[in-house]
Amino acid sequence: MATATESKTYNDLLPNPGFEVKKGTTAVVVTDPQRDFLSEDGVVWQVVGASVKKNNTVEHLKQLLTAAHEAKIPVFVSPHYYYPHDHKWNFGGALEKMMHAVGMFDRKGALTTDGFGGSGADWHEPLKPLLDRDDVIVASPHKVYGPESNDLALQLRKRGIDKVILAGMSANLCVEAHLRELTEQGFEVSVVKDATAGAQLPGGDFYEAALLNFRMIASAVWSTDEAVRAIKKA
Amino acid sequence: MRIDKHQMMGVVAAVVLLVCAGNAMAQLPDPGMTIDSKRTALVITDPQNDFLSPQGVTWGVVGASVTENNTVANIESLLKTAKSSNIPVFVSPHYYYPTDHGWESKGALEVLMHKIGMFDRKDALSVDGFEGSGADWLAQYKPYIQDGSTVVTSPHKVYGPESNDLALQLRKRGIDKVILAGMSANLCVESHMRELLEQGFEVAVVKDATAAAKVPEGDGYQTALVNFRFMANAVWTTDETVQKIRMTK
Repeated sequence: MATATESKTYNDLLPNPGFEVKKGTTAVVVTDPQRDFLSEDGVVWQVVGASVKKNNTVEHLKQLLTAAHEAKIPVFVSPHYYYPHDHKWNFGGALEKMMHAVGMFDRKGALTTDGFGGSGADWHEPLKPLLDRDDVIVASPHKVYGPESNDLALQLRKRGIDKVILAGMSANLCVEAHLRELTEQGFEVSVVKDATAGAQLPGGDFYEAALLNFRMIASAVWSTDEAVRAIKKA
Repeated sequence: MRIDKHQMMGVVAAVVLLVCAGNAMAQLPDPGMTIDSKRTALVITDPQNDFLSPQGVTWGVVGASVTENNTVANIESLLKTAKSSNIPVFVSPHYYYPTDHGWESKGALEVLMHKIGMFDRKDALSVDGFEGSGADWLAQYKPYIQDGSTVVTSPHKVYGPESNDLALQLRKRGIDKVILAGMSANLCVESHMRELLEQGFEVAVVKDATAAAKVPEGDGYQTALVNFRFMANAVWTTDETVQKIRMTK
């Protein structure tokens, strides 16, 4: 039996399982491509904006979605919305409290789009032509960080998808929660590391935290260029 | 974007909270968790030799963090305190059977765990070779875990409790608050925290009753601390946890 001895980098330590894009069983999944994260007037831009700019996240999401559409790789979106009844929860974690306090992703109700257009919960404008399409599957909203509370896994399985190329916002929260849950549900997941971004605060860089966990948990961690090439080759 | 007065106050609050503060982490809301002995359980992930014994297969990368945090003794303090205060204890173990090695897709660390035989057992229905193996409990925890009242769930198979009966077992006992500790911080502990939060449990993480792989390139423990602080209802030390449990009726 071998042992995991001391290593200098995770690349010494960890294998690279790899991920082959297969048409018919592979999808692109994007979490929270919404204004509150990606637009300069979004409620958390002050803390994620620098990382979004540095990673060129919006442009990379456009490239990834365009490549998927051209190759007829299906696109699924897992959005984040809160309704007034969600504000009546008895308890929440630290960031949940913060999101509720700043009105992040708020909508007036599940059955109304009153005030939705152009709000923080709406798609980021530059991504709309790539998301507002009949062939894009929009799952119901997740309610904490992961897809446990929505129909994403069901929608993927209903289309025979078992491989997921994952991107969106934000890296250590909803993207990582989707990576972890889809992995637990038996999906093979590759993460596009520069088509996401994370909050940067004096207490820590959450994008860096996410990169480490992506490397350990995912089957592959790609740049957008690598993901687009893999999609085009399929 | 249309922002009403209430939302604007929220935005201002967030900016104050997250940007202007010198130590932003300290400025995040701290929801806290009260311990109600009828509704609260201690959950320990992977208190097994492969993580916690110097003979374990991952000691080379986790040993430094386990030693630094005093993880082995801290987990024992939690077990001891929970038992003497009648707080129910649940253990979510990690085992792989030969059939698990037939999986077709795996993440990087899964490939590594399978390669080094981590948590391997011969069969779901055999304990042949189990005693003292990497999959067995750390010897000093056996009196607590094998006392006839600790609930040992079926094994989780990746990192989180999605593949075992932990959530069911907790609900069957009316538990909706969890004090979480065990191995390893950014993998199974964090995945348990994330999944239990998604399932509607309140979770307090005991930050020094866990540890993680650390190599010069990056520290899995520091990564986990960030996410614990962001996501959990509370992040406590072992001392704080022991005190809180003792104060509970």
